[in-house]
Amino acid sequence: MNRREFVRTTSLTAAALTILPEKTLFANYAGEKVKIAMIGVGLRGQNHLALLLKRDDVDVVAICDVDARMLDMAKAMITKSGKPMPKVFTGDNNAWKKMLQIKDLKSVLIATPWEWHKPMIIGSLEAGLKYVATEVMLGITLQDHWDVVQAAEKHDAQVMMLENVCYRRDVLAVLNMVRQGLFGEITHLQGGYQHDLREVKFNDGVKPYGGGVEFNEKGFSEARWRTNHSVHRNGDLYPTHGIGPVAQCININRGNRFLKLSSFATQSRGLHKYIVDHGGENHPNAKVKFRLGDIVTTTIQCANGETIILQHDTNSPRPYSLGFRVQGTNGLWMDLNKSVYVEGQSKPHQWDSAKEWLEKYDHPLWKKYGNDAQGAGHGGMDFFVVHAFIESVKRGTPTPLDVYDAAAWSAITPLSEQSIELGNETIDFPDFTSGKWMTRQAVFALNDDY
Amino acid sequence: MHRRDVFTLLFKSSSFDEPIVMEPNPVISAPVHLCTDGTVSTYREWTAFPADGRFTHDVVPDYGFSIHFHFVYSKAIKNVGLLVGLKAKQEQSAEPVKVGLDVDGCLFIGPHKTERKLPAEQLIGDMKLIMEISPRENDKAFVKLKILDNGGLTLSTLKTDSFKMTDFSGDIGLLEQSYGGGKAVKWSFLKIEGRKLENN
Ligand SMILES: NC(=O)c1ccc[n+]([C@@H]2O[C@H](COP(=O)([O-])OP(=O)(O)OC[C@H]3O[C@@H](n4cnc5c(N)ncnc54)[C@H](O)[C@@H]3O)[C@@H](O)[C@H]2O)c1
Repeated sequence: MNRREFVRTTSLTAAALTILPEKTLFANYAGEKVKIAMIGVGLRGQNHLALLLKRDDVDVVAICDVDARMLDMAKAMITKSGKPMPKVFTGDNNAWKKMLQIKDLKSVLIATPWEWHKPMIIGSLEAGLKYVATEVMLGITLQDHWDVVQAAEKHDAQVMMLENVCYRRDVLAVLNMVRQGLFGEITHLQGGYQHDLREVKFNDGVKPYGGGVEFNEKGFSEARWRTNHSVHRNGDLYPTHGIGPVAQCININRGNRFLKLSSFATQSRGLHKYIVDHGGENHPNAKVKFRLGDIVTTTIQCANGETIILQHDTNSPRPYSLGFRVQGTNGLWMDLNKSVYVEGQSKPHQWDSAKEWLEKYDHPLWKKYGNDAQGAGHGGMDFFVVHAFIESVKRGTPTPLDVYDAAAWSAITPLSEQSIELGNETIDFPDFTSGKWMTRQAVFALNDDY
Repeated sequence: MHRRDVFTLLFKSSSFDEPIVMEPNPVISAPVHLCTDGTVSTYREWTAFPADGRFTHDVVPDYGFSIHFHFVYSKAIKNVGLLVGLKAKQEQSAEPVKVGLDVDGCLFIGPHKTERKLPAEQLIGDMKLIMEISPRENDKAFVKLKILDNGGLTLSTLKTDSFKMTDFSGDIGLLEQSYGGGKAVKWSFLKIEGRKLENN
């Protein structure tokens, strides 16, 4: 099956699909090209690959995966792009280690299952790479997060977690509003991952979305590995899309930090129900006991006084929403009802449509690159996160999202699991910056650069 | 905006017959047990033993305080932890409260104990005990003891409200006073943080 047929037979959402315009970015780029290798060219990796192939300032020199079908899809994309075929590393789970020995390799992009991120990041740093981009979730346990932070410090290297939602157009416009003081002093924020993943967690082993109730070895793509986390773990398993954007609004790790959290989980029903409804009561998977509560709610207290509510809601029928809310002493933005209220400017006690406000405060990055981002995954925001990484490598500067951001955002998972395990106990948040949060300055999206 | 106008706006009514009731007087003073006037925050920390083995401090317990204790767990020591509220020599009839981690991996505060037993493999490296004591009305105390591992993950907690704030007034000592001998509790840090009288 070629990629086009594959795409036709799947129900990939338009948001996740990368249909980039034919135009090449940074055409005739004269500087030194960024040599990059990729570990994991599954569905997410292919999104990133498409973006990298569009850029003339990047050479994808090697790719690595253990799944022949994913590799074939990636190779077809490369052939179609007209770029030279990179070296392909495959065969076993450690083939990536050989790939990292490539001479003059500067950077790597990791898009593998969560459990592989920590060893692959640390392996890349130990191989001497100075720029490591990883898909979301830095590690699994709290210790994993410390290990990555300490490895990045030891090797004086950049580890950027590709938290793309930080670059969503409305999210950046709201950050712009916050920075211009529109909402006054920020007091409360909300976000989450509210995404019906039942057709991602189960499929027929052929299509990536739905069509069956298989997972683990019999599943395809994320059903192969992600579902297993729902079997064994109960916590906010995917906090970074919700927390990344709100963390920027209150300068987490840069003058502020997370202090404590507590998490609460509902009963676990949705995944079992889905199996019974679609596979029947006698399907072997109907016997599987899932630990993950259908809806996990986490409350966080920050050092400067703000509170945050995060929700993880992936097992129930529902339209997608990250449920953002950014509230201050002077007004608020609510993503869900697409509204803004600003005291003194909005009619008292009435919502304004967010549209006008978002247009007025459109972020300089989107003003500059909005056209280039068109067609990139997730409404264009994927363009920006990859762009930020590549520009940092080109310029030899720190990445705008760094290892401390990655650790603080992704550590919410093990901390929330522990809170639930201890009967919703309030859990202290470790300070991965070891005190540096007090003096570090904001660097994210300060202008229209990257 | 006056709440009547809000009402009109929300319910699209032009007039309504809400009786005019005086708003109750606002509460303007904090409850006595939360009043911290005349005090300032303070802390003391130690990384070595004071000569007499007593950690003496100027924290006034009535206003609430916390203790941080970093130690290395060893099964050879029966109970690792602290004596909180060591009274002056002349009033030694009142016993200090024993708090810490026992040999089975349970947290304890006086007679109270967690059901959760922490396995020894979770108690490796620098462990942290944190005790928070907050005042409630009528001299009652709410006490929370927790243990964190090397990476800062809370492993277990214990709470009780069966003590009085006065039970904790006094110095701090170490449980298992064998700190001179081979069975010494290896500890690296002790801190008490709270409020002291401003003019002290
Ligand atoms: N930011 C976003 O919007 C977004 C969207 C989707 C996925 N993701 C993240 O991207 C990552 C990958 O997800 P996906 O949807 O592409 O999953 P996927 O299962 O489609 O792809 C993962 C790929 O990793 C490969 N792999 C597994 N072990 C490997 C190894 N040892 N060496 C080399 N390759 C190996 C698999 O064969 C597979 O091709 C996850 O962390 C996921 O959470 C992020």
